[in-house]
Amino acid sequence: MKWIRIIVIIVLLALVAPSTADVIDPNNPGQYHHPDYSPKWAERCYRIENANEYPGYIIGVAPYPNKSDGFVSFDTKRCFLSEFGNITRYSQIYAMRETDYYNLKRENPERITYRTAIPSGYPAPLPSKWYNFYDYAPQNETDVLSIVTLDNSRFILNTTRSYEIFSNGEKHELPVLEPTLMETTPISPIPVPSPESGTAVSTTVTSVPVPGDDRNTTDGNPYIYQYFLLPLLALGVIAALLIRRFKK
Amino acid sequence: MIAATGILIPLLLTIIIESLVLGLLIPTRRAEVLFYSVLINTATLPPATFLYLAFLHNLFLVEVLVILAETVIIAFLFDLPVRRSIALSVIANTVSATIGILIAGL
Repeated sequence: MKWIRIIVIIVLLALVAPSTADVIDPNNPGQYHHPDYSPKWAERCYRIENANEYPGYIIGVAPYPNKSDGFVSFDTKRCFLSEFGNITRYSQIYAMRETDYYNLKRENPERITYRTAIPSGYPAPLPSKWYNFYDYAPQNETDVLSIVTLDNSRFILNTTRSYEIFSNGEKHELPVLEPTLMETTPISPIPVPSPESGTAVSTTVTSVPVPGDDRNTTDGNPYIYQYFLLPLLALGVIAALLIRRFKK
Repeated sequence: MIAATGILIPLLLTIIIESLVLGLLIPTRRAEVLFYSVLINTATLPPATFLYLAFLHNLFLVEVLVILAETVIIAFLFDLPVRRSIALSVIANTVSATIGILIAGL
């Protein structure tokens, strides 16, 4: 009984203990862990198809008012976002080409990482903001893509350099392009105003599946395997050992 | 490089650390300790990591849950009294969590 009481006290203490996220000094951004720093679904997801220079980009919008950059995992198929690593700056929008996602997934099946950063002093009036997207390869800190949000459903995409380096070191040439206005269709349950007519440039829009009832399936979710399959296997072995022992 | 390592390196480190600690505390059953440490930590560390990243954000609470789970498994696998199992679980997890925090930070 004494041990049970001690366990109950420890659990109660743990429950009232402050969140780890809260005890880290927010004034030291390198060490700051935001409570939202976890896998989650983007609230809105957009697919841009046939959009001149950037066909197949998926843009996920996650409303993190105090978010910052870090290593971002963005599952374009399911519009699934997560961040790991240190946070240093704010960010709200994530984008990746589907082809990049699947290439990366092949190279690195455990996790797809993508580094983002945020508005860095561009003199764009609200609601327009600049978001600079960085290469997912850690060795490369150069911009791959910039995005301007005009409203909830229109973006301008622009590259700011002529190449990108994948995590395997392979260098890929990219054309340097003028900003292109994209018209997109939201696929989230959140109502988004229709884009103004006559502003988009050569784009057609399709929607991708809304993350919903299939969230717990393993299809396209790189997390399920490493977090749950291995433990289940271990628990199975433990159960088998115990059953064998009890039978003796 | 976070992407390349995933959860495997933390898991391997935890297995090594907890095997050493449990091996010191149960010196007569070292072969079992190593085998059971692999099973115990493989069963608890990945879900605990997911729990921390996705839901709780409270390392202390997650550690307590891990200690409780491992206590039960240790008690059954090593066929030890609950009191001793709790002690082993608390010591092993305190050491591994402390080293983990020192290495990676919160």
